[in-house]
Amino acid sequence: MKRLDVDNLGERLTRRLAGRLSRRSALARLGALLVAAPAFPLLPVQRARAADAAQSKPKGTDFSRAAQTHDDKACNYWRYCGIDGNLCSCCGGSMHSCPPGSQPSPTSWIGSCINPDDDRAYLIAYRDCCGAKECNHCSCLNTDHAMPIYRPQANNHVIWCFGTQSFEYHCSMAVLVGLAQ
Amino acid sequence: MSIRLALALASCALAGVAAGAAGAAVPAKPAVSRLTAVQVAYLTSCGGCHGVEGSSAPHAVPTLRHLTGSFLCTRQGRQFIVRLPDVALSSLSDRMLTRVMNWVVFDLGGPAAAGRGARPYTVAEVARLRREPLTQTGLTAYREQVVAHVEARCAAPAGLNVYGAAYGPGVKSPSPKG
Repeated sequence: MKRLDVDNLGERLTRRLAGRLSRRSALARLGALLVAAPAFPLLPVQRARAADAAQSKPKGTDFSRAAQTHDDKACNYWRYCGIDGNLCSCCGGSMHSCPPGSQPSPTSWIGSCINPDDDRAYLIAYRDCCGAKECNHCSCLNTDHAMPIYRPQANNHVIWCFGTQSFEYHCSMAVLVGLAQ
Repeated sequence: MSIRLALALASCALAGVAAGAAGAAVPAKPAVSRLTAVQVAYLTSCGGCHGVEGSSAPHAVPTLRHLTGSFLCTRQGRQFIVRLPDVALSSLSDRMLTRVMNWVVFDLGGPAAAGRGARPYTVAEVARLRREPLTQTGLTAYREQVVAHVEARCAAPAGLNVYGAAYGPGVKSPSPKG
């Protein structure tokens, strides 16, 4: 039985390579390989997992990703991310002024919303207009940063008319306070 | 006037007209104030009721602006404003609550405290005080007692007395929206 002669096999392979390739050619190929290596992902599994992690943590909130910045009479306008009630913009007022006949409350709760145009967070004061019959137009319920009733300071279901002459709820404004970032 | 100087002045005048026209055509973007981390913490934890600038409905919510610094006139007053339930039990960390308290007292609260050389709160002091929130019934009556001591010892501003003196209508209790 003939035994496998590794020495002979190695010698033949080396001589064949030496006959076909010059030293310069071999060095050039090795250099090209070294230069090109960083361009390829070396750890595909780890990079795939990193990509998954990035996808699992999308920027903003569900509301901000679907929000728009042109129609302040729609519930998905970006400043309304935590509003609960009737939009004053639909009741003869605006985001920062009460309709005639109602009175702005000096108290409010302050949340923060992301403007999709610049991906920045802004503080928004949800201030109710009081002292007139409920408007009942454009009723919205969004809950970003709103807290349950046992944290009433940030609860959007409370009638924020503390400090006004009447506790009758009319509509809610969304006043821009400032840039949080 | 040389021709070169006249041409230079004319080109400057034209540039000014162009700039003015451009300024009129493009409406200025409304200024939005950039808030510091302390201001954000104050506004989201306190500013809704106490007011963005520390002034709200004074009978319903104590005014902070130009007044809060006076509480540092007495040891009792200094402890009182940290031991208030909504301060002591807020969701802020000890470090951020300390920064907010110092900002409320020395910046928002006016020169009353700083003028008397009151020292800022330390994190350790706030951490210790907030572990003992005020729990007695009749918190408004206790506040009047604290204010009376402050007034007896210092030249406290009159506005300290307004809260609790007379309630306006509509501040009895919050009720859910229909």
